[in-house]
Amino acid sequence: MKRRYLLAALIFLTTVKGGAQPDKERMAAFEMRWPQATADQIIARVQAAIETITGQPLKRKPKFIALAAKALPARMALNVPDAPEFDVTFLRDYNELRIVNRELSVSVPPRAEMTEEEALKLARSFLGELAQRKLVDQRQFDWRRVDVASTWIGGGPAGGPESDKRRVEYRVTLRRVINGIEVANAGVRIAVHTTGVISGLRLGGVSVLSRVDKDGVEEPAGRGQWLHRQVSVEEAASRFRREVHPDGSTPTISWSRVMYVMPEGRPMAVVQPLYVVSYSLQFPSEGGSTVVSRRKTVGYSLMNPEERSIDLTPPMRPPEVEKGEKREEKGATNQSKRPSR
Amino acid sequence: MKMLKRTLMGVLLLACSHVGWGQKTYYIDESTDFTGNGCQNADLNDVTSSLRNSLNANGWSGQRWTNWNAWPQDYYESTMAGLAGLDNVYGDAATLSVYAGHGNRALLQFGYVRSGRCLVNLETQARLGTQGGARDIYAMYVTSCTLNLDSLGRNFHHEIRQQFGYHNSPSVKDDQPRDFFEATNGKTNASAWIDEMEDRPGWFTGDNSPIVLTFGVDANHCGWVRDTARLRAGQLLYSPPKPWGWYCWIMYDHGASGC
Repeated sequence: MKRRYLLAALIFLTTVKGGAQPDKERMAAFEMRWPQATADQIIARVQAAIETITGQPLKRKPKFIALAAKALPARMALNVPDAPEFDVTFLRDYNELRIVNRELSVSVPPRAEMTEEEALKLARSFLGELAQRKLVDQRQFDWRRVDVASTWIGGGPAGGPESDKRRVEYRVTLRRVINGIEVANAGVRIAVHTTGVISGLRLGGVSVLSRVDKDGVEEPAGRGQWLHRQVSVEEAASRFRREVHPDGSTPTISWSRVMYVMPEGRPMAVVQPLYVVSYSLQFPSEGGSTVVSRRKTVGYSLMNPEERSIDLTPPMRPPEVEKGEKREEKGATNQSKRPSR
Repeated sequence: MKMLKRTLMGVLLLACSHVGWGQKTYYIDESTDFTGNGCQNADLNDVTSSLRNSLNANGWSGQRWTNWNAWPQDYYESTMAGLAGLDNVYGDAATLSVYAGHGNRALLQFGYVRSGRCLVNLETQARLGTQGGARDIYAMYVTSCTLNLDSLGRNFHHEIRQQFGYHNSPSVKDDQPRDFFEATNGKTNASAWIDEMEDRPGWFTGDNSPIVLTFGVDANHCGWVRDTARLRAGQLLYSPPKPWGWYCWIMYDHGASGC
């Protein structure tokens, strides 16, 4: 019973009040890793996913396209002979399956489009079917935290007003939730075409080493452990406001929340929840223009107020800069330049 | 036999002289250093060196210039007075032109000031695929907001087949432009761009709103170009019929944050 209260308090603090309550709250660090699926596992997963989408059994198994080497590459395309309308890609390093119905994704949908509520109902039912096929565990998702985006198409004549803009799909995203806290790197995205057909699927991500107790609380296993929270969301947000202000810039926050984020470039890590801010910077520029930076994502420790902020989207390698000097002559030809190699 | 040889030679010469006929050339400018060079902004990760490697490995040839060698003038229309534009030899002199850095609506921001300029206004200062150079067929902007839907019309002054960009401020991992190009072996450019760019690989936060803007002669042709063009597979690497008469776009919309 105590644990139930703890879980409720945790959800309340991290989502509703944003952690404005007293410190010493318990939060868990979990051991997470990117599972390395075998070829057979990938094929089985693709088959189950396509059969769930189409509602039809596949007589022939999906096949890898142009897989020459014995070792599986980081990114693989698969062909589904019995359902050739699907583009299938598997990102092995991220345990991520992507399926797109290439015909529906560019179709012109009917004028009377389905409502978001109807799309969510279909997505919820489809998630249940995915769970029956053991492709997801429904208990790991919280429909109160669903994100709904859209695929749009549009167009018009040159010089004229836009003639048409239509929604092709609703894109319904659920991230893995652990004890009320979302994981950035695991989830499911279901594309619901406005005709009511499932037109795309993305699923997978990081795996979490945990065990669920009788009260439904996920306990850390392996190298994971319970920790005591020392920093409220307000304190972390205040740090962001203090620390992120390059000269003359204004940050625009796209989203911020308490979240688990797997460190980039690590196959395995013990991951604590962080206060995560995804933002861009606006700078004044020439002629009164404003320029906008590409997105940055930063995390703040909730356990140690002294810990430095963490760049959650760091570069994978130092920028590669060419050594040559570019010529400025207007009449220069391509051949006269020294391209970087 | 002689006649056959002459005919073959004639066909070859014709193919080579045709502007943009199946050319696999690229021009890449990338700014990663925005600190203390007169064009202030946040420093960036390198997102085009692996793209360049992949292009080279697939039979493309071209140039990639970065930081102090990447100039706003590379995209300025060379025939416009007062700009000292060099697009005839750089930004509009290859099949695929790429700029990676910062931006805004129809704007590109470079990292180093040159002749007092940091920006390219794509509406008023650039004419890709036409006038000076006139060899560009595809343009990729790995920048914030350049193809924001609410100001899409500011990107209408080019005579090219497709533009790839973002409706919002995107988070882009180092190899995503490469992965997009690689995916165009099997997928259309439009499908590959929006699928590859919706999120960083391994993230489910829906950070990006990737958009592809396509031009065609009319509505049917525009849809055909969108559903046919494949960079790596070599589909539609020749100049489009000009002038274009219809635009069509496709986008995964996760909001316009930052723009």
